[in-house]
Amino acid sequence: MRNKELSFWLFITPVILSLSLVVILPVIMGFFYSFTDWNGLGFNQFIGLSHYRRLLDDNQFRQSLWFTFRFAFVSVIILNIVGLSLALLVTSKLKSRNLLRTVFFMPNLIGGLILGFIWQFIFIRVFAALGNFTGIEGLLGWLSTPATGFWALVILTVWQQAGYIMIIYIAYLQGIPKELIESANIDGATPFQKFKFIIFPLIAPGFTVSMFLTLSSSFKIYDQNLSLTGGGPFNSTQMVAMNIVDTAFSSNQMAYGQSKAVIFFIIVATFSLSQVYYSKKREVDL
Amino acid sequence: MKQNLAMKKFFMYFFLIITSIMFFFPFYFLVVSITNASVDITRGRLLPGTHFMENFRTMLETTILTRSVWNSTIISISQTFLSIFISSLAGYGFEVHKSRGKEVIYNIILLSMMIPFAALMVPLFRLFGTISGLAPGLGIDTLFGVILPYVSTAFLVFFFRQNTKMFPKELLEAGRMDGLSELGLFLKIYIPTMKTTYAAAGIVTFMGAWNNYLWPLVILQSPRNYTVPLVISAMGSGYTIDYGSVMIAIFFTTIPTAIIFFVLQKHFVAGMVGSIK
Repeated sequence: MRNKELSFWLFITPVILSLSLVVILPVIMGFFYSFTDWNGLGFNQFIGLSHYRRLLDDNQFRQSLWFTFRFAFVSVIILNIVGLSLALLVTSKLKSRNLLRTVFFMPNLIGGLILGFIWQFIFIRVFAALGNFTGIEGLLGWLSTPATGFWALVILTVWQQAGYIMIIYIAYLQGIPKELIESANIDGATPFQKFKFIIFPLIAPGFTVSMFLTLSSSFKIYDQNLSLTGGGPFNSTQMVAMNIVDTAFSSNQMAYGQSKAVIFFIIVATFSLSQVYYSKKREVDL
Repeated sequence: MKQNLAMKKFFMYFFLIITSIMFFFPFYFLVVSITNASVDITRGRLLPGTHFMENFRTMLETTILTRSVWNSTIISISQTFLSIFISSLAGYGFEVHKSRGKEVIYNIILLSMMIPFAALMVPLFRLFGTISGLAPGLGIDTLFGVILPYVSTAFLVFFFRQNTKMFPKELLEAGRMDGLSELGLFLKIYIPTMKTTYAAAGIVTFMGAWNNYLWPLVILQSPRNYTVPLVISAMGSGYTIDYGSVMIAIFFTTIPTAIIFFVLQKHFVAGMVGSIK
């Protein structure tokens, strides 16, 4: 018994050591720095809550928080709908289903920074060319207004991550016992009834996992934001991560940037924890 | 009834074709663009051109790109091996061994998945500043500094623990009979049995490392240490940008992740499936 306990600790010590060094220690240090005036160089002094007081009047920060929330909300919903639809599609009896899985997953191979760069051309040039050709005015001037910047980011994110979410739903869809579907077929259930009463309740744990993954990844987005819109026009599409990077590293206000990071962390943690809590509760209810 | 079925099929294929076009188009645009001149790319030209060799030559002249491919390769390979090994040790330990307080530690590790990287960046930068003072080869502006924050990740620990739930534990008993040590069981029985899981984890980790942008941007300073995304970002942000060579650089630097994916993809879905059960 002693021995077993010892081998457990041997196996997890490397992870504990490394996560303590690169996650737990920085979280504590970061909390501490947010009360100082550290600017990247030199000695720091305690200045109490003054960064947090300054945050209350920081319109740009508030705007990027609000933008990030709206973005996360919309993209989480669309991502899960698209991901689940793709999963239903590629688990059906199509001949091409294996090829399609690969196709839908392919965007994940390319990093967000580079995808943003490619999509920038598509939104600006190709959309404009299509708009001029078809006369649809909605295709002109993409990325030049806050609204088109917002939707462009949503489209890019959904396009990039839907394949990943699809894989998660595939896992749960494959776990549904075939007899259940067959007996529903014998009872004459419509596709909608099958989805609502059999598939949906059985893949509920999949919602918990993919909601958690999409929620936390949408909150953290930086690369796509930087290369697609660069925060423009006039910082209207700047998300929190970018706001923190700009504050800390471009204007060298490390400690002030860190106070934003602390607030951001608290918000993200609250959201993710309550999402997991409610989804778990719902799973039990179903 | 028959007509209904035909309609259903029609809509299904219609939807499929539209979705496939949407998924393919950006790749098509990338491939077409590597054959076009910079001017044509900015005009949104969608047909193949004749500038491939020219773009290719410009890319080769950007010597810093060759160097960055080397840097990215070293970083991605060592990061993938290290983090998969360390995280799978823990994922295995959590599932196979018993200990008091085990679930508390596991939940703390899971919680750390929620911390946005932006919240760790500033303190990490300072931490590496301190490391630089003690050992310059391991701190700021070193490849080691890029790798260290990722030598184990909460996601991989979670991933391996979930997959280990399906690992046949009788194999371990048999191994113990044969007199294998605890580490021996892990190395000689667990790893070979869990090939699929390792393949899936390998794909995800390698792609993440190869494409990582923010942390290398923060920690690397001299251009000779740049990774691929940093160089491409720099190529795409000057005053006169040669889009043809940017596109061709993007194209060629995507090939490694594509190769890894296509070689291991047979195991990928199966490995991912095990991870979330």
